[in-house]
Amino acid sequence: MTRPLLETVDLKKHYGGTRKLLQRPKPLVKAVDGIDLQLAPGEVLGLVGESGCGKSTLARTLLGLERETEGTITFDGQDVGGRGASAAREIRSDIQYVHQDPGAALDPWWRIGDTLHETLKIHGVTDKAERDARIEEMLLAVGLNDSFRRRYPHELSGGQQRRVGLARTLSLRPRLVILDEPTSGLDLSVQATVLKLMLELRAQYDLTYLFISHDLSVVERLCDRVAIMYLGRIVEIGAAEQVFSKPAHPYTQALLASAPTLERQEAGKPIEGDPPSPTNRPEGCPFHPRCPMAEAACRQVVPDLADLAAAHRVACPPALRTLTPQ
Amino acid sequence: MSDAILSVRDLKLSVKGDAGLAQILDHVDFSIHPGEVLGLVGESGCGKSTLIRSIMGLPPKGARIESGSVTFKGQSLMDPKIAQGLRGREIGFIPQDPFQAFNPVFTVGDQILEILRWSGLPDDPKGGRYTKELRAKHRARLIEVLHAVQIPDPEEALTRFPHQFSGGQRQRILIAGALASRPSVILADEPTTALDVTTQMQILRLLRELAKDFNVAMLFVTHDFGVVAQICDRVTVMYAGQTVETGTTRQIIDAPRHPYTGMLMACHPERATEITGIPGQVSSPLTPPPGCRFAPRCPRATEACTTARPGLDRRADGRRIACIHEKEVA
Repeated sequence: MTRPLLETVDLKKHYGGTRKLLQRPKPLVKAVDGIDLQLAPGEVLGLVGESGCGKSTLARTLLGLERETEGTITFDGQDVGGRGASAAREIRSDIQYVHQDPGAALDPWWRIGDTLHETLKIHGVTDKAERDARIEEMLLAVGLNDSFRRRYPHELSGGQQRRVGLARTLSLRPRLVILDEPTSGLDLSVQATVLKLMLELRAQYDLTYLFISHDLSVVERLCDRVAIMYLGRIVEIGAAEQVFSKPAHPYTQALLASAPTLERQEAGKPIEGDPPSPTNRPEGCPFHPRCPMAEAACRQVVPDLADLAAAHRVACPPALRTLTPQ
Repeated sequence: MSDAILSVRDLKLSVKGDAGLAQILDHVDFSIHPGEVLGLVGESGCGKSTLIRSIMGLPPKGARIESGSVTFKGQSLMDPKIAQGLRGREIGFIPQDPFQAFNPVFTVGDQILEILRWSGLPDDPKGGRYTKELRAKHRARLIEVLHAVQIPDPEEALTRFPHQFSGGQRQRILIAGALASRPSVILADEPTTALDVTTQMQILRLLRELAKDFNVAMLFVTHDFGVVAQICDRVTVMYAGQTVETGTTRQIIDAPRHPYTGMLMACHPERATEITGIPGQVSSPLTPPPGCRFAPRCPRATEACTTARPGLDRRADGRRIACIHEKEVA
């Protein structure tokens, strides 16, 4: 394998758990709790999980907006972890982020052109001619003509706002782009054009994507590999076709069975209960209270990811035992 | 058909605003029968919300119904007095976002009982005072329905506050609130979009069972064909304020015939051979194209499409399609 573009080892982000003078102790929230992740250059990795599983915290920690509690982050062979917010952002400027709600991410009082200029100014592009050239190039790349510079965000449709969001991010020439639910709230026909655009841009600009989503059909369509998260941990990771065709972890199986497909799903009981809150994590495997395969050991030991097949890892000892030939 | 419980006939509605006269709905036409779940599918801005509000007798400010009718069991819902009497009692509503539907400072029991106080149950004495006995009766009925939506320990649940419930449980409570007054029609406005997939599937299955058990007709608004496949018996598709195709769920998903339905299905990640989308943009309701509103984006459009609005005609396979070109094929 070529050197990964981004690698994390045992990355953790915990909140609270401390107590200030005369205050009640804040509950300890293990939002991200031991993530080992490798992103190869040029790949699209899907990160899937339900609300509260720590997807967004992981993204923020990778970006450097949150300081990791433990673990290492390596970008392109360089250790980029263990820094405060501004230092971390500086060293990680090759990692950029596309906001989930582009309408909220654009200043309603600013013309699109001013917003795009501001982004480049903040990132140290002082030459106005160069900024103009980059903005023109990026708007064209996302399929908007130059007249959009003079428009205000409210004049744009949802799909156009996403395109501006992409143009803004790509004008900084990142190598890794974190896309947070890039198609949520878009209509089906617009979603398709935005997805197509993202794939074209990846080829054109040599990008690597971390694609955060809970829409399984989009992830299956777009991603090379997929990681399934549950309560701050990755429970299964592998090539998208393997994970989707042969899901091994009981949670992945339940998730896939729950995603509405175009056929009516009569068979299979939906998974019971609600996702537990990260403030009140069960001991052992976080999924065991809802798991049909749970056994005594699951209630005590937090399982680690182990190889099931080439490029398919799963954190579930009972599943591994049944699926691997003795 | 005569046994329809709710019918929308040729509804044309425009809204006068600052920017001019917006023709939001243009000949919307469908009906729902008892015990049936009808999916209402369309992209944002196609007029779904205006339609739902009109059915509840709460059209947006400045709205004018130019032609057509909305009737519930033969009574016109365009009469505000009649609509007010039926709303919440005979016509239930499940909102989109269970996180915003509750007031955080009152218990869920107080909030739902407040609704029942004003809408009343069908067997309440007419014009009587709201007595302790009446409240106790409402409470008993609510507990009964909370059992049906599988809320554990309903008695205790009534005394809790909204934040003490998860999103899925809040949606269950709202469903119970809608069902308590024994409505014959429920309008559900994307009731699962704010939920995670595992919770969504639980709620969809629950709604499917409840529609059968309580024999209510449901108008289920959504833009997700995956959800449609799980719960709807029939589907009606809207584009830019016009009804374009109505048929059974399998007909619409497996063999769409209107060009718009076909292109929309081709955008679904499960069906798409390549990711394309529909070229062009939805026309503004301020300046709708004459004739078929989809014509400017339609690959099959001819001159005839831009002159006259195609009729929503019934076809041999039972569905209704508003496209002059589909006529030739059928």
